[in-house]
Amino acid sequence: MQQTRTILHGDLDAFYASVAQRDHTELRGKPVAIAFSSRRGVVASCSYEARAFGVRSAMPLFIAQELCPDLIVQPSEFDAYHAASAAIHAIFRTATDQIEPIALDEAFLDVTPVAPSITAGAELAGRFKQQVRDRTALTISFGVASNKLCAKIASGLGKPDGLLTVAAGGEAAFLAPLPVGKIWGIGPKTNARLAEAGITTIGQLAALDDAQAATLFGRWGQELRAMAQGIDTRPIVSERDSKSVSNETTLDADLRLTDIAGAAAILNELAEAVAANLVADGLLTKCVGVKVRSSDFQIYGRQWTLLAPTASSTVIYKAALACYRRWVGEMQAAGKPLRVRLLGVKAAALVTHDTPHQLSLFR
Amino acid sequence: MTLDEQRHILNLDCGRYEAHIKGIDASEFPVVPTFSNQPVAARIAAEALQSAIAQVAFAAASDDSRPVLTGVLIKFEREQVIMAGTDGFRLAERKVEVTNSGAAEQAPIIVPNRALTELSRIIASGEDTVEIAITPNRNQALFHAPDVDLVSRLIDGPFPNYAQIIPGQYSSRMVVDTASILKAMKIASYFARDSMNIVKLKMEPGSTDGLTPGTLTITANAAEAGDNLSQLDTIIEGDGGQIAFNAKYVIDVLNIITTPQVALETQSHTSPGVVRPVGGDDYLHVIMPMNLFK
Repeated sequence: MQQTRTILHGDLDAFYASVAQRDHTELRGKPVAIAFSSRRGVVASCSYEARAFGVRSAMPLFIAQELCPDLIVQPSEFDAYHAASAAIHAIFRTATDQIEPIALDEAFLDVTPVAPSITAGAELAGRFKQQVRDRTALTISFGVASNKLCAKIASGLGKPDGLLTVAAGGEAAFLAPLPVGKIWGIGPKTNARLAEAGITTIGQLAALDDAQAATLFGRWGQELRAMAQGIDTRPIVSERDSKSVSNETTLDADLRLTDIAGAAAILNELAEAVAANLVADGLLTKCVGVKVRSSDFQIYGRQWTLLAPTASSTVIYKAALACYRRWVGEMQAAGKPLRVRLLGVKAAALVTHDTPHQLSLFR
Repeated sequence: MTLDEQRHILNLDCGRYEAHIKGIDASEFPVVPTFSNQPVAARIAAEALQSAIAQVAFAAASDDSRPVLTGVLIKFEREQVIMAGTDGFRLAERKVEVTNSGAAEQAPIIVPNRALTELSRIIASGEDTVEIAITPNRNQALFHAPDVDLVSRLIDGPFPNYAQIIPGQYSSRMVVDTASILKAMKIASYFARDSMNIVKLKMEPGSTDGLTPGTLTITANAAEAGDNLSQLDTIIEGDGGQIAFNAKYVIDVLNIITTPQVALETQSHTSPGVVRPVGGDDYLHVIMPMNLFK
């Protein structure tokens, strides 16, 4: 049996707004909302004082101001956010390098080696909370559980300044009374469909049989029900593992090496799909690769490091085509009259949108 | 040493050592175009050309994901040539006076950066001039100096229309001592090395009566290395503000500015910054910032 893991989910409380209240004393104890200049008119974060009036993140500013006429709207200060985020990651790194950052203010940690039980994990989380407060004057909430799903939900439930644990073996019981919408991947649409079927709590979802799960969610049913039962084996993907986004396709007919135009058309489509994925996840790539499976059943990979991170399909396409041309050149030089069976485009070395990056002169 | 011309073999014979080196018929050597019939597109003082190459070529792209950017654009006008290089993140443009003003107008060419750097190395400076001519099929250019000819292929393709990205106005213009800012940038760059080379510039205008000078604060920090701050007195017109640059780009351009003072014109923290030598209107350099401040 797999050893029980100790997963921490740390999430800073009202991060942007808390930073503002920390750095501008006159804002303390007042309802504050942060609005990014790039997304004017939307609340990016708000203080707990503002939340008391019903103000929420992602709410249009004018609605927020209707709910809370005294709301103080502040611009974002990414310099301070990055500094706080870096300080907190440095604290985490003293215990583990298995850190999966979700955003500047949120990360999963696998601390199993240093905290082999949930109780030990809670002690460690308590220590982190103190260190975060000492070094950044901010409060952070932790969820401690044997998997990511429960840890994340627990940190949310405990807010603010919370520390909530889910005992090993108690995952299903912990989840059962909660609304289904708390599960990752269940959005408003699925939520509505479940409500129609009379399912509102995670416990009800967990109790479905195979056939019911399949009717409601198709292939995804099994996985979702497992989640509802508190089973979530997704690993921590640390920064070092560097996630990637890729897309590949097996060709209808083999492609000759010399048919660059044919390959270019396919790479263009793949690059567009990869770029769309990056945009959807708010990510930028710094390294583009192509994957080729040839008629000799070998798999080849070539990659290209970009000068600046991008999510532009044109840039990704051009880099992928350059990689492909290089591979073709190598194969021709080696006298290999190969045909191409499969083509893939991969975007690696991903960074988030709010990571500082070099801007381009030409768009 | 004997040469067998028939069989193109060079025989080397030395005591107990003997070697035969195979050659190829000399007529196979590609014809070096001489352009004797081509009109001279531009005649430029060697020294001016060398300084222009030094000020422009480094801004061209070093990776060939966009081949046109690995070259330097040369535009021919009646009284001057305009040379421009860009790697997509920065742009350098230099105007150079021609000594054959009024030469027939030519369409612009893109010369590989490496060829120009090579040219700069081999032409003797001093009072010599360099003539530029282009083959009728426009795929090669000849650079002719008294002692040396250099033929380069030309890069085909449209050069980005860079005129549109040169900001026409600024909200802040800062004038600062070139050597001082270069020194401060170099120090900051050590600290910036581990944090993507980011160096932050904060420009604060002085008092309106001019009694208190403006201040430029340069900062860099890296989680592991530490941080650094230096302040310089400046003259700032307009609002001032903050902007972050890749330290390398700023140092590269400051290295080739020869005037004692340099100006930085900015609009916002996400708009290109323009660097100009103070007192010389033949050069400008545009650098795109890093998006640090949102």
